Amino acid sequence: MIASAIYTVLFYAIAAGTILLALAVVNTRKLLRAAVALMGALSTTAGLYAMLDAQFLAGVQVLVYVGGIVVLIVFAIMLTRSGELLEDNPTLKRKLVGAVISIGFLVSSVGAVWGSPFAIASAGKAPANDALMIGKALLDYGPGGFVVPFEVISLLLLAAMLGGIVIARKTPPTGQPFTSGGDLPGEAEVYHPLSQRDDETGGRAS
Amino acid sequence: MNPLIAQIAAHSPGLRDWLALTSVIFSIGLYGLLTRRNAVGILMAVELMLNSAAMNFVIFNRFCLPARMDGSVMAIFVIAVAAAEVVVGMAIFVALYRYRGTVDVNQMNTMQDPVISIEGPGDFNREVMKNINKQYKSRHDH
Amino acid sequence: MNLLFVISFVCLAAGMVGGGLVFSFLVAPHRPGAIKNTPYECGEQPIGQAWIQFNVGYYLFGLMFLVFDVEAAFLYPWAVAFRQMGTVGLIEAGLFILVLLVGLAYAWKKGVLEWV
Repeated sequence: MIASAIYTVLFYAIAAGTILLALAVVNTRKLLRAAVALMGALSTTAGLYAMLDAQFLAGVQVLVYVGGIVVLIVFAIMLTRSGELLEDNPTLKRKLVGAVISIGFLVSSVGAVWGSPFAIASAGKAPANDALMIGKALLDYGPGGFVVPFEVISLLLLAAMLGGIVIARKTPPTGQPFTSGGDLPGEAEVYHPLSQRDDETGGRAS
Repeated sequence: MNPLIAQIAAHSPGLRDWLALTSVIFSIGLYGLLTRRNAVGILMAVELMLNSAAMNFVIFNRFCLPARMDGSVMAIFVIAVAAAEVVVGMAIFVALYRYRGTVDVNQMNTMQDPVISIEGPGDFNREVMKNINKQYKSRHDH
Repeated sequence: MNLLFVISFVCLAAGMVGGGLVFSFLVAPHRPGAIKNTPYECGEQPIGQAWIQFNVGYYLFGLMFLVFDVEAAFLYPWAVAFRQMGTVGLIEAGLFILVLLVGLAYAWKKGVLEWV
């Protein structure tokens, strides 16, 4: 009884925290603050995973989302100098359209959820060692196993890594002191509007 | 037993409460997707949506099939896909910033067709070709 | 009473952090100054803005870190289930690692791992 009451209180507290942090993610005008709010929202989601008896998944959430993805987003904010600029407040029309569409989606999906019957298992007891169960499911090549998605994920990660390196690593614009690439002979001659604009103004000045 | 505790315990969250929570988070992400102008901000909103969708798998696993771990496995796959998406997406934004000097999505309109009225497919192609020639000339004149 | 432990831990942690902040706000003298508001750079005078454009090398290292972070998240359940899956599991996980090693070799050859 008291455990159930504590579970309820924890659920509503963490859910309220997650919703507030998610609202901060989409409404803050400084993107770096939005990234910090995103980190908080993902951490509270890890707490919700733990409440759903998915302890290993909570660990993965903290490891990958909070420790990896948010860090990469912060790097991208630094690299694109998005943090120093205040994001333009969206126009009222844009806000209104966004609010109408998202609230419409919310109403329709919650209505569908509340109106439909679910096959809820009565005796809900999660397995004790979920990492072991996940490992078995991932490596199982029989029916119900996930070995093919497991290998495909490695290919996806390989493609993402190669693509990210190829796209992000090009000749830096003029004036940036550091370079980590540009070893291809043709890379330096790539048409670059920013550097060309610099050349034009320099020619006009002299 | 204290009646207040009994009252609170009677409202223990069920499947529908959990799903309502993920719907709310998804809607907030949708709102951010539609109102943000910075591409990095849009991607953060997409992360919120992906996160709530992954949580749905775990919720259904917990309530409908608690003896197996299929939902958790799917959620781990979703997290891996989100990581791959962020890697490539952020690389594109970094390259885009270097090339255009901004990541404002409202200014990403070079592929937009300026022709307003289109009669048919032939006219469309002719107009597009004319436009491309004009842009090419203006770029290489000086 | 697992959850009771969790909620008492959360309350205790929040109380300690919040109590410390509130107590120092109430007790500490409040005299701000221009020099006190400058960012602390190990005693050096800060030059220019903090918002400079960062080296793209940071992003490339973050990218490599994230990919192998996900790999670690996938290999942990394999390590837990290693004894029960045996040789088949070893081959499957070896294939997984091998595919990602191709990416590591590419990054190494392209000089991503060297700090310029």
